[in-house]
Amino acid sequence: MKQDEVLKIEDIHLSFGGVHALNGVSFCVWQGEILAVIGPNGAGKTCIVNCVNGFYRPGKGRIYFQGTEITRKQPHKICAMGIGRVFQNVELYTGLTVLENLMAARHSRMKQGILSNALWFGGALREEVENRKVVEYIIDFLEIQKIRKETVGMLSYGLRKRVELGRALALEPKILLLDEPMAGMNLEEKEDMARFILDIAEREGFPVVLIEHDMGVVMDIADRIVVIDAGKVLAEGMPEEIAANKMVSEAYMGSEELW
Amino acid sequence: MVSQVSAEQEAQMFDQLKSGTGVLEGHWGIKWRLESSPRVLKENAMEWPDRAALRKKRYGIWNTYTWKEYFEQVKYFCLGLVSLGFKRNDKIAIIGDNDPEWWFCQLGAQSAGGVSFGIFIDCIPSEIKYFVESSDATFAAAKDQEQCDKFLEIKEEIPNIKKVIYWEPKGMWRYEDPWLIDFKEVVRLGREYEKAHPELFDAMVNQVRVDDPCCLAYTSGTTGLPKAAVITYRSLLAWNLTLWKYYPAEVGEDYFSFLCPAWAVDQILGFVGCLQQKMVVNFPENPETVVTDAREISSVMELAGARMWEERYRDLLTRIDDADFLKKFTYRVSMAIGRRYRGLKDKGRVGLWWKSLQALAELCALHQLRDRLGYVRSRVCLVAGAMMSPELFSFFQTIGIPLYTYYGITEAGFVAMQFPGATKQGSTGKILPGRTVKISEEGEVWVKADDAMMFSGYYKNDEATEKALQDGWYHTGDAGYIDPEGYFFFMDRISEMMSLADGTKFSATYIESELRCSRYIADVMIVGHEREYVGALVQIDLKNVGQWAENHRIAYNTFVDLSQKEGVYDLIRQEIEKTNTRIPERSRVRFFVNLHKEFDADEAEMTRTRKLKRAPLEAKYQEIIEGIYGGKEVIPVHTEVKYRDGRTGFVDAKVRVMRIESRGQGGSRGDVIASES
Repeated sequence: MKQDEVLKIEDIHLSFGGVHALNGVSFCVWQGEILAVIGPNGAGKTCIVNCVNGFYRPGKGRIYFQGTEITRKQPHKICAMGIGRVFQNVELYTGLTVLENLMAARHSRMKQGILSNALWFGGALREEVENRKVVEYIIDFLEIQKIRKETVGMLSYGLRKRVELGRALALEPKILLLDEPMAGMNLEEKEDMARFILDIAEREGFPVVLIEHDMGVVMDIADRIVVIDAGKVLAEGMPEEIAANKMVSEAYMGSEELW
Repeated sequence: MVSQVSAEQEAQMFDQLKSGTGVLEGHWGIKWRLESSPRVLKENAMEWPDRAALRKKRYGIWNTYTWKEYFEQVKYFCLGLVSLGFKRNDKIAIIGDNDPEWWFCQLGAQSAGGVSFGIFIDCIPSEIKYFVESSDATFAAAKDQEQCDKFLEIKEEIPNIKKVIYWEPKGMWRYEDPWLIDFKEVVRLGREYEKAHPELFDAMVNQVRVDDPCCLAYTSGTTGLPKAAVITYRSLLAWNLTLWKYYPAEVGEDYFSFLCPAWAVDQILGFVGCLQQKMVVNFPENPETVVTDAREISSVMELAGARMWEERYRDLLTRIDDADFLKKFTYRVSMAIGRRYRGLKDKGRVGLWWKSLQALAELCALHQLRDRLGYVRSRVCLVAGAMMSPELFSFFQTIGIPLYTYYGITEAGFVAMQFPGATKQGSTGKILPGRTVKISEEGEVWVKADDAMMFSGYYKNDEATEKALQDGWYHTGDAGYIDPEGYFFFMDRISEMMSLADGTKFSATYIESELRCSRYIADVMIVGHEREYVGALVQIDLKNVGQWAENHRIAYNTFVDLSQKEGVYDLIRQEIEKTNTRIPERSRVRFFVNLHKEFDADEAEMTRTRKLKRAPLEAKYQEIIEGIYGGKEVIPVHTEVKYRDGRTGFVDAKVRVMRIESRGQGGSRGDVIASES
């Protein structure tokens, strides 16, 4: 299967003192796919994502994004290149409204200076309107019109997660990394989230990397699955192949019945 | 501000309405054309091309459609439909939220001489199948992915549907079934079609007469399958005119459309009323934002169900409970002043002192409350549907919302209505001109009205039509009476009038509406027909009881768990005891259980307009009802639940029965009902 590689991870190693978190992980993310990364707790899933967007520096190995090496770039530069991320723990400004949070995410795209912003005319005004438009499309897309002007701190966990996803979308990413977007949600919220993820991949056409524990969700929406265990890639394949893989089920849960 | 119209002028006007055409002019500030909606729209577009006709909030901004744009959308959609094979007298089923496209679809189909009808958005595929089959619809308009999926599920079973038109393309990117078509694509087809048939649209519109059927209005179906009443343009016009007689609105004023358009009332006001009076119809951004959007618009008139007011009341009380001391204090004092002021005003004895106090109360709280709810510009709010507790009426009227009630039926429009000067409490107002009401020997309400105001029979169901319409009298199936002053009192559906084993009659709906005034009771079913005493199956209000539990440090996880808590039982008991004081002694609630699940329309427990379907409910909860009267204290239940996606599951729970000691004196309105029946 030859497709466009958007993100390529090549043999990355990561250690914290004597603990080897990643021992040579390699895989690719192709254009337009939903790739699920699964594995038991502590397998190193989040470490991979942190390496990709530059929070951790891998001791060995390389990461390429659209053909450019990003292994040692700074996080804000990687972000500006178009790698969007949704954090496992919600990282929003809790004192600001949903709208303000999303507008803040657009900040990296605003170019007007202090003076014109303070005087609020011409370029600054146009810029605000343009960015607001993008933000409003996202609000509509995620169906959060009702909470547009509510303070994030007052929202339920499920809604905050949705806003967090919106914040990542506001960066107009070329790839989206979702770190457990459904953890702690109820069934209905999970279904909504799954639908949004599918819609994003469908409409925007960019790849989504999904780290997730809920096997039902992963099997339903992922195009391809990478299984990580003890810092290594244990298996890689279509959902059906992974489901049939005995080694995976043993590593994952120590039992034969996985799903 | 009712302008003076002499009796003679009025009679002349209703005469013209009965069979005439032309223009109704001059009375109550109106200039209406006795014509079908498509023709009125066309003329509005010529007369007022650049003024606002519709407004829809999208992306946080109110977007305006002018009359010209409105007309063009309708015109090209109509031609597009015709190019796809829509013919005169064809039916179109529309399912979706309140959007301009709903209006375009309806008027587009009507322009081609077609008939439209709405389906409630939460209907499940099997219900949609029933509506589509019983109406012979050949086209369907379904808002979005969710609704289109329902149609796709039953595609094989409804071969008559030629196309399903959607207007919200989100999520539809990968649907390739040619059965589905985008609204914009239909409009584009219409523009193409016009090039080949330039005269067609005008010719079609000219053929649509005011006496043609324009829509099917499905009855709510509390006792059986819904029946489709055929309604003409003239009936809708006539119903509007009676409304305008008491509550005129000015040209260009705002109307806020948020009730499901499948319900007949939005057909009356939202379509025909606004079209004739050139009012602006405003649509909310989505169903969840109705409250804030309504506040931004502040509609001048509104028709809504009692349920909505009950929900608002419960919500408001909870919010006030959460407010700080100062706010609570201001609210209490202002409401007390407001109540006193209203009492004095009714007697016509308001002094300067009370006037100033009222002004202060207005300033501090009442105006703010009205603003919060979106009623600062409101001139009339009519309450439809089930009856509403007098307590709620007085509450909202104290805030200053002009709340009035009416009695209306799908088949004959408004029958009786309260209006300034005729607002006797508990009544639904006086019988309107052009209608006659008779109470049969069995106590059933029979209505006779001018032909213009009556439905033209049930669609393809002559048997039901003959049964309901005998010698020109429409048999409503409702129980009611007229007092010596000419006020009409609605009691209940006859099928729901119950009597205890000792012969005491009581109205279950009345007791239920009183109980729903409690903010902790979301819904309730009263039982006790031919039994010793009255019992209640209570569905707690999850949000409010949940909050109460949190405040009282009661931990819970699910609805079942919360509903069976000791403290919650005590809370509900106190609420019922309070309500019992307003109910005649014999028919007070003696036992209740907190149900372990909510009533659900998907399980056919209630209609889509949230009226209880008693027979299925009684069958379903038979073990609980038997348990109550069998003297059990704990009843194990095993209930089947149906999920939205069609799956079924079982809920196992134990529900407790709680007894209520009798105390207190009998109330007012309930006594009237008991004595009259």
